[in-house]
Amino acid sequence: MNRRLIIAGATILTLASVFVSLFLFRPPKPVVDIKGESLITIANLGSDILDVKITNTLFTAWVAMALLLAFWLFATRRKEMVPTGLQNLAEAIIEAILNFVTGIAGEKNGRRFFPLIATFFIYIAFANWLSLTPLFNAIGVFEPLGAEEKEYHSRAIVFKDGAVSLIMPGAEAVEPKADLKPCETLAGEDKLHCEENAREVAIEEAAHDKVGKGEKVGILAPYLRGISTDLMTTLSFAIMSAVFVEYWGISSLGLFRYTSKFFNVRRMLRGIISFNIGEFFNGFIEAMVGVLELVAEFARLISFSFRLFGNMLAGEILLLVMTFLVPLVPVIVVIFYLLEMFVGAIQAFVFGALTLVFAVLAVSHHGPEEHAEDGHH
Amino acid sequence: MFVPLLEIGDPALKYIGAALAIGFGSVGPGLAIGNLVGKAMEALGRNPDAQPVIQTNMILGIAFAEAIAIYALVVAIMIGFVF
Repeated sequence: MNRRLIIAGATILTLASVFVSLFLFRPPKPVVDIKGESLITIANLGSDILDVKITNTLFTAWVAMALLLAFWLFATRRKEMVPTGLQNLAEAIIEAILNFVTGIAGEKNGRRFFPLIATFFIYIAFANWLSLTPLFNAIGVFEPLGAEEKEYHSRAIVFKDGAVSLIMPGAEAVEPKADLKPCETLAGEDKLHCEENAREVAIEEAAHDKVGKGEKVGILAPYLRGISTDLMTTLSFAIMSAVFVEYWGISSLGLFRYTSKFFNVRRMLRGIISFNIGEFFNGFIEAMVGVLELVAEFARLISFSFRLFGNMLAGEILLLVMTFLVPLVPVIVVIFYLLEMFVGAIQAFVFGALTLVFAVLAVSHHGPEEHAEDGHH
Repeated sequence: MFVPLLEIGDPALKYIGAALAIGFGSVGPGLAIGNLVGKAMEALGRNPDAQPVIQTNMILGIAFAEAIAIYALVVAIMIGFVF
């Protein structure tokens, strides 16, 4: 009876806290932005794609690099035969990764692959964990909401005047909803102008309703943002990984033998020369398999970059949603923080391990063709 | 008279689309991950000494299967927030 009372009380308390938190601490909408916000534009070339700019994810990547560099320099400053303290930690990390790599790729190739794999693992894991620290996504510069930035409209927030802003629970979210109906009959340039005007009117109306003195409507471009939540970062990791895998494949098999995996027409040509239909058909299938392998090589880039990006972006959204769903029961957020730490490390491990597996595949002789030739002779 | 609940171009369709994308997109990976872990556990039961190898390969396989769910999630997020 007593226990039931406690359970009922806890339930009511939880529901009440959710109720109170939803109505008293109305949070801004979670920030979901696929590309990193630019902090400094270096060269303005007129287009959003061509502009050279320092985004917040790039800045964060530099911060992570500096911290890692400082750690490794500090840990290996005074090397001793019997390691203690930080050197011990550094050696343990390196040894664990080296054992894993040589276990899969063998001693010789493993030592060759090790630097890249270890860099991927340590850097991605560290950057992912770094993005769980408090300053991320919270402190940034105010960006006034322009009419042309329609994708930002759902994240407009009322800001106090000042350069540095902080998302606080209780900061009010406004949603300028532009009425684009009258523009539908127009076309081309006129339509764009009409839509822009409608958005400006909507921002002004929203500002008029909710904004007091010394406040304005805009969005927050945070200084620090998790690097893996920007597709550009993960894509560049994937390109690095692909370039190294191809390099290792070519350097250990030779250019001709390595590319013969993709342009595998030898058997087909043999079938044509000897007028053997069956041989030609088998050779044709082999050539098509080679084409498929070539396609898979490029599809790898996409799956590499989207796996890391999707996981970390989903994690960030999950944390934001959980934070703003039950701000008065922080235990729930802590559980998800632990989950995100696990996911961050696992994704870093997967990135390194997949690069390793593909590298091993690239340097190994491809068996089926040899077997087919053996069977033929 | 029959009044359609939703018309083509209704913004609500966007959210239904996002829900369908992640909902259907996670069925396959869910089955795949369940199958993978089940088989890995079977293998562990038969051969407990091979635990590190099995575990590594299992996590790699899960990552492959999970990537498909992540594609669906990215599509859903894009439908929901970007477009």
